[in-house]
Amino acid sequence: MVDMRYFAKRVLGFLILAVLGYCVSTSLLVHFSPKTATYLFDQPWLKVNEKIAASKGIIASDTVVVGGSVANQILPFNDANYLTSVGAIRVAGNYLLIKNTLDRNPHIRTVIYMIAPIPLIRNLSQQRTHQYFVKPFYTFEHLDELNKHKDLVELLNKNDFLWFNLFVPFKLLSMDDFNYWDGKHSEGEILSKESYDWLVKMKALCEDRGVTFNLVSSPVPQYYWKENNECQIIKEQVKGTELETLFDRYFATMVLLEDSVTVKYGHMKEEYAIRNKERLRKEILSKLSNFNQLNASSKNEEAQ
Amino acid sequence: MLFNSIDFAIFLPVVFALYWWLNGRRAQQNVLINLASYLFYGWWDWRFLVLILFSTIVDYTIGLWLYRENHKKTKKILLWSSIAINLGLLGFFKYYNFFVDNFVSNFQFFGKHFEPSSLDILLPVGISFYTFQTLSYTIDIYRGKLKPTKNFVSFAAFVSFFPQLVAGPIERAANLLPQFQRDRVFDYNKSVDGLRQILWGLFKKMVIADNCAALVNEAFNDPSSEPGSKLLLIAILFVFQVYGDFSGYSDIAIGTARLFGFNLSQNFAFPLFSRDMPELWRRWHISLSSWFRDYLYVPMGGSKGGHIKKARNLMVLFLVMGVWHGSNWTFIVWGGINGLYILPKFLMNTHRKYLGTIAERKALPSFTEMFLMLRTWVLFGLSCVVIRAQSLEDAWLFLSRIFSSTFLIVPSASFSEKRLFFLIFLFLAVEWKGREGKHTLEKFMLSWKGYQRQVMYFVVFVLILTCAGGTQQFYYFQF
Repeated sequence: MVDMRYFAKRVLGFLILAVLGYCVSTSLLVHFSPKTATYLFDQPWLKVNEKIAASKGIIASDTVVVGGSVANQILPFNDANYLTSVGAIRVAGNYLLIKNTLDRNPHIRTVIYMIAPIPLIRNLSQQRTHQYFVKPFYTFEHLDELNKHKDLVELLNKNDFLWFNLFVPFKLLSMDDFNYWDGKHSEGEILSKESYDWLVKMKALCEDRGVTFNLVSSPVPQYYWKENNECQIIKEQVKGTELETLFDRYFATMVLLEDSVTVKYGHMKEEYAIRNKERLRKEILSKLSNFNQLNASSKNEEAQ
Repeated sequence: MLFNSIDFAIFLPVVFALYWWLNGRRAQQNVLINLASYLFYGWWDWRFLVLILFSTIVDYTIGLWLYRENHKKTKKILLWSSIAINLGLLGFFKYYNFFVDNFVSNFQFFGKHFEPSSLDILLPVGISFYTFQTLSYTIDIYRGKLKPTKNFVSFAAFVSFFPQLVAGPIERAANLLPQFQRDRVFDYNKSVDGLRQILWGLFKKMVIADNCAALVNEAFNDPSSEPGSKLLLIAILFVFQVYGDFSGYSDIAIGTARLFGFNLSQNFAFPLFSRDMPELWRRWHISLSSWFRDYLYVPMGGSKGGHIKKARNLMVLFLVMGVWHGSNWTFIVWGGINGLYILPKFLMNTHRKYLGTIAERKALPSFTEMFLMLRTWVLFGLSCVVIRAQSLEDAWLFLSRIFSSTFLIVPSASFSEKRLFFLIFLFLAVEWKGREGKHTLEKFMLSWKGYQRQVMYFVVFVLILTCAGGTQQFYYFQF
């Protein structure tokens, strides 16, 4: 029995030290070297975490770009002012990225949100919400902001163990997952109510800080809009609302792609994206600039 | 209750503490093992308990009766009753739908259409394993190799012993039963070694097998999107998946049993380092292949007789092993392919060329040995495509894609894939270093200092926590 007690003590001692060591080392790593953490653990949320860390740093440029994974395909991912991540963080996640950036970088004058239509249509009741939104954004730092949104809190609280996600070591457990998918897409409205509300907040945030906010579309496969006519429905949906101009710009900057060069979720085929990223980026930015010039001159005319 | 679940992480220490608290009270320890095993098994579905109890009572009774009976004919009747009941249960639960489906399609072939009442039969977990364990008990008594036990509790514990109940190793009564009938003494070194084996088993299952599974599943869902070269790699990864999964399970089972003072038989002897297919089959799922060798192959005549008889016996052995694995033609074909792989060497009597450990006492294998190992992975991987595919048609599509012109395309690898290859490389390196032991970590770190070993355990522990693939059932549970 002496052996038995010694064994129990050793095992328990090892487990306590191992758990402590794991908690401390992973927390330090994720906090101080997010890129190394992404490399070592290869978990989806760590890529978003890198963008959150970047949003809390100093950005040299006066323009910051946020957006989804299709935008990532045509933008220089590693430049500090490109905070594009994945569509699954939804508008809410991008709002938090913009807020972090503007809080620490008052010199920023322009925010571009480059996003494909699908993430705008969907809400956070999705299978990937836990990995892409909860794990990176549900932190003590964002808690106050998140708690202001009753619908969001209600949704996130479906997970009884949500509080675990406030602590890095739990988030790193690869078996930690939760499915927020409610089994239905938003019916009767193409732009989800959740996206609409967060876009309104995003616009207001930028206006409050005197920052120009541009909602821009990343390249979209042709079939998506031609067959479903969703473009027209969204236009109707936002007509007369405070988002109307925002979406006018969104559709004006839209570049349609041949279906053959796209794959699932509207992503471009890798080779095509590499060859054409420069051209597509220029095309979208020139469309944006044309629209803004036209818009400015029509406003001038109206004023005169 | 899965070994890689929170439930088991609570269950094991509780049972372990209670068990050793009863130290010196063997009968009570056996009762505890029974209760714990039934709880462990009933965690899946309590209805399964009826089956295992029935099987236990039948074989316990027949075992005693067989031993007392002197009349040869009655003995034979008793033996065949046990075989019929055990295989009947197995056949009903595992093969009913297979037979009905084939029966219907044969009738349709002749223009007759009818729909038999299909049964939504739930396959009881581990039935193929414990059925074979109890069968060996009655057969050994019949052959006079074993005395039956009068102690029902010990016998029930032998049948239901939770570490190896659902996926083996399939234990023989001659090895395991006597261990229930003698006092167990806590052995510190044995328990530490058991924990090492559990840790490595969890790594194999959760890090290697589950991550391979994600890649393998994706490729098998849509093989046309990958070049042939990548599909061949996937076929090999499937071998790693099944090995990591099943040998991982065996490691956890054997390690757990050691914590309770029991020695289970080795089930895998580093088959990935086999130089040819006969060697692989001597090292893969040893408890099953030796079961079939002793209770099917040898009674049929084994390797005695002419070439035709030898070939027949070998092919029957592999086809039956295929059937044991699953109620689908894919398993039968898989068994057949593996039989055919071995047959030429077997007939030329070169199948026992590689009996020892590869590159014994050497740090690295020679180029020839590396080539031979790679060849074995490819051959086994190609045969395993058949069991991984949903049907023979799907397997054919997969295999024909491998051998198409796309085989010449150099496959690309995503970051996750590269990371998985790195983990596999680490895993193979550790397995290689530990290949002369009974399990990987047995001798691997013996020369290391205490703190170095602790660091190694910590690294494996963190890898399990952070790099594990999505929680997956153990692959062999379906068998």
